Amino acid sequence: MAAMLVVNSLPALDNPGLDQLTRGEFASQFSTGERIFGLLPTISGTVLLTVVAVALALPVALAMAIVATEFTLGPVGRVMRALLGVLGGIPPIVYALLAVVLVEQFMIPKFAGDMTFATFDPAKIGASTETWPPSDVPFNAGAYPWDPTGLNNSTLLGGILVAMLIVPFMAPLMADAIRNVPNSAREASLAVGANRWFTLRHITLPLALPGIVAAVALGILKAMGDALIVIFVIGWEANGVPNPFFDVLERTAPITSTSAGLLGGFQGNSGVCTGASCHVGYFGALLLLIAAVVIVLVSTVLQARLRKRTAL
Amino acid sequence: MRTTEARTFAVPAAGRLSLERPLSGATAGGGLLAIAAGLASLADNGAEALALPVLALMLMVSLGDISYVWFENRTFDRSAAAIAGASIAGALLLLVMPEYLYGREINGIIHRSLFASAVLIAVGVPASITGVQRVLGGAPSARDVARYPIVLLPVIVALAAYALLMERLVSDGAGKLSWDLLTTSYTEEVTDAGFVYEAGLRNHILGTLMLIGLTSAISIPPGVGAGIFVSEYRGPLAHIIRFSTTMLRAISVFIIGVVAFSLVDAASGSAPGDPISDFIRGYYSDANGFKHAAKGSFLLAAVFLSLLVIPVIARSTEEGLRSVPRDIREGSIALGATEGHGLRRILLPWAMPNVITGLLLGAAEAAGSVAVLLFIAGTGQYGVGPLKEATSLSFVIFETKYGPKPFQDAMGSYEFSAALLLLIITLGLTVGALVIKQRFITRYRGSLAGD
Repeated sequence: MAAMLVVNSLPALDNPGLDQLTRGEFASQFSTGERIFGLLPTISGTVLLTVVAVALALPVALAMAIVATEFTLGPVGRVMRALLGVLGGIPPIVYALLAVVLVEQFMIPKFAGDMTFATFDPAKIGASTETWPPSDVPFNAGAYPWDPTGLNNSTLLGGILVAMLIVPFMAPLMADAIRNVPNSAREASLAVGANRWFTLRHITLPLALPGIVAAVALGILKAMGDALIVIFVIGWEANGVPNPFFDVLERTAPITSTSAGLLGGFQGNSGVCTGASCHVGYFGALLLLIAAVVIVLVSTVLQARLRKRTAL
Repeated sequence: MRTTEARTFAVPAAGRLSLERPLSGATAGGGLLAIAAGLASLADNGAEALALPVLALMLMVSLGDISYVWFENRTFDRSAAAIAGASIAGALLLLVMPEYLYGREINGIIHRSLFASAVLIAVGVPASITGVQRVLGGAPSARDVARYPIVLLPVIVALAAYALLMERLVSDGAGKLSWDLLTTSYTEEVTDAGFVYEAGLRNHILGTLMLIGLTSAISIPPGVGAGIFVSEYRGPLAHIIRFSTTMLRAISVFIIGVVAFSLVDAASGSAPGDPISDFIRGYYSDANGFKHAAKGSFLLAAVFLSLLVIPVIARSTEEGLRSVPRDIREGSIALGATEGHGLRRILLPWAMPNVITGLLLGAAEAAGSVAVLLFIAGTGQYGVGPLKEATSLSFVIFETKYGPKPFQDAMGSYEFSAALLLLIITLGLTVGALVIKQRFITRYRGSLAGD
C-alpha cells in the first residue's frame, strides 16, 4: 500500500515540486483553478484540528474512563461502560450529518458575530434589532466561523465533532489501562491511609500512564485520519495559513479533505482524476501515512520510557 | 497535593452556637448552584442572567466564612478568600464585557454566556469541593465525595452533547421513514423531460448487508489466523504480524480509501468486460445490453474494508486465546493432545465468543465506514451484486450532499432517515457484540483461573 502511494505521489515532487508544496512563495496558497498547490495551509489545518479535538476529548475521555472503572457507586460504572460501547458504534458519517445541530444549538448562539448580518435574527440572542449590526465592528473580519448550509464552518466546529468521535474510542482504551493497574498497588495505598482520590491521582493514574499515552496516540491518529466530518463541516480548499496560526475560528481544511477533493472523491466527480492535482492528492495521503508512522514510533518509545519509570 | 490539612475551624466552646456546619453547607450549596448555573448558561443564553446574582451570593458566603474563621481563631481562611476573589474578578469582567467580545486579530467573537458559564464553573467547582469537604468534616470519604464534580462535570456535558445530536437524528429521521422508502430502489432515467428519478433505500440497505457479508467472509481467515499466530507462537514472523496489525489499526481509514482509488485509477485503461476491470471497477449493463464500467465493485470495497476489520478480529481473537485458563490449556496437553488438536478442539471454541465479538464490531465498522467507499462507490441505481457498483447506507448520506445533482434532488430529504437506519444496523451489531462479550466474560471459575 505504501508503495502504491509512493509511486502515485512521486510525480507531485516533479510537477508542482517540493518547493511549491511546502516552501517558497506559493507554499501558503492553494487554488486548483490557478494550479497552485501549497500544502502549508492544509498541514496547519490538520495540526489545528488534531490539537482542538484531542484537547477537548482527552479530559472527557479520561473522566469517562475513571467513572467506568473506579466508580463502585451503584450501577454508575456499569451503565457508563455500556454507554461507551454504544457510543463507540456511531459511525463518523452520522456526526458529520449532525454537525448542523451543533451549528444551530451552539455555534450560532455562542459565536454569531459580525458575519451574520444577512441571515441572523438578533432577537434570537436577545440583542435589539436597532443596534444590529454594531457599528464598531469591521465588516469583513475574516472567514465565518459557521455556515449552516455547508462547507464553511470553522476548524473549531470540526474539532468538536471529531472530539465527539474519538471520545468513545479513547475512553475504553483508557479504562482498560486503568483496570490493568495491579490491585495490590491500589490496596497498598488505601491501606496506609490514603483516600480514594489521592490513590487515583497519585497511584493509579501514574501507573496507567503508558496505556493512557497509547490511547491518546490512537486518538490523535484517528483525529488526523478522519475525512468525513471535515469534508462535511470544513470543506477542502485551504487557502492561506490562518493569522494568527492558532485561529480555530478560521476555516482551515486539513489534509484528508484536501486530498479527497483533489482526487475527485466528491462534488459529483466521475471518479478518475488526472494531472498534477491527482498527484498532489496522493502526496497528501502519503504525508498522512508518514505522520502516522512517526506518531506510532514516538508513542511506542514514550510508553517504553514511562513503563520503565513507573515499573513496580 | 497536601496529604493533611489543618482544620480551618476551631472547635466551638461548650454551649456556644457553632456556625461551622451552616456556613460550610452554604459554601457547598453555592458552589453546586454556580455549577448548575454555568451548565445552564452553556445550554441557554438566557441563563446568563443568573451569573451575577450567583456570583454575589458566592461572594457573601465566602466573606461570611472568612469573618467567622477570623473571629473564632484569628486565622485567615485562604480557600474562602480565593473563592471570594474569583467571584469578584469574574463579576467585574462580566460587567465590563459587552454582549459580544470583538477581536480584530483573532476573528473570534465570544458570546457573554459562554464566558459566564466558564466563570461560574471555575468558581463553583472549587467552592463545592471546599464546602462539601468541610460539611463532612474529617471523614476520610470527604475528599472523595468533594471531588466528584471534577470527574462528573465533563461526563455530563459530553453526554448532553451526544443526547442533543441523537435526539435530532431520531426525531428527524423517524418522521420520513416509510415502508415504501425501504422497499423501493433508487432509479434515475434520462428522458426528454429531463431526469426522472425515484427515491428509495432498498439497494442501499441490501448493499450494506452485502458489504458486511463479503467483508466478514474475506476477513475472518486472516484475522483469526493473525490472532492465533500472535498469541500462540513466538518468533520473528509473529513480531512482523503483530507490527503489521498495529500499523493497520494506526493508519487512517482515509489512506485505505486512497489506495483503493489508486487501483481504480490504474484500471481505468482496461475495457469493461475485461476480468480485471470487472473485478476492480464493477460493471452495469444499460438498456441495450452494453456493458459499462462502474466506479468500483462491491468486491473491491469489501477487500479494502477487510483491511479495517482484520485488526479488530485479530485483536479480539488474541484476547480470547489469552483468556484461556492455564489449567484447561495444560489439561489438554497432559491428556496427550497435539498442538493442532488442542488448538482446534480446546482453544478456538473457547475463544469463539471473542471472535464473534470482534466480527460484529468489525462489521459495524464496515457498515459505517465511508472513507473507504469515498472514491469507489456509486449511487446504487444498478442493483446489488459482488461485481456491481458498490454502495451503502453510509454512502447515501455522503451523496445527498456531494453526489450527482439528480441524486441530491431525489434523496436530499431522506438523509436523516438513512442515518437512522445506518445507526440501527451499527448499534445492533455493537450491542450484540457487547452482550456476547458480557455473557461469556465470567463463564469459567476454575481453581487456577482466578488470577
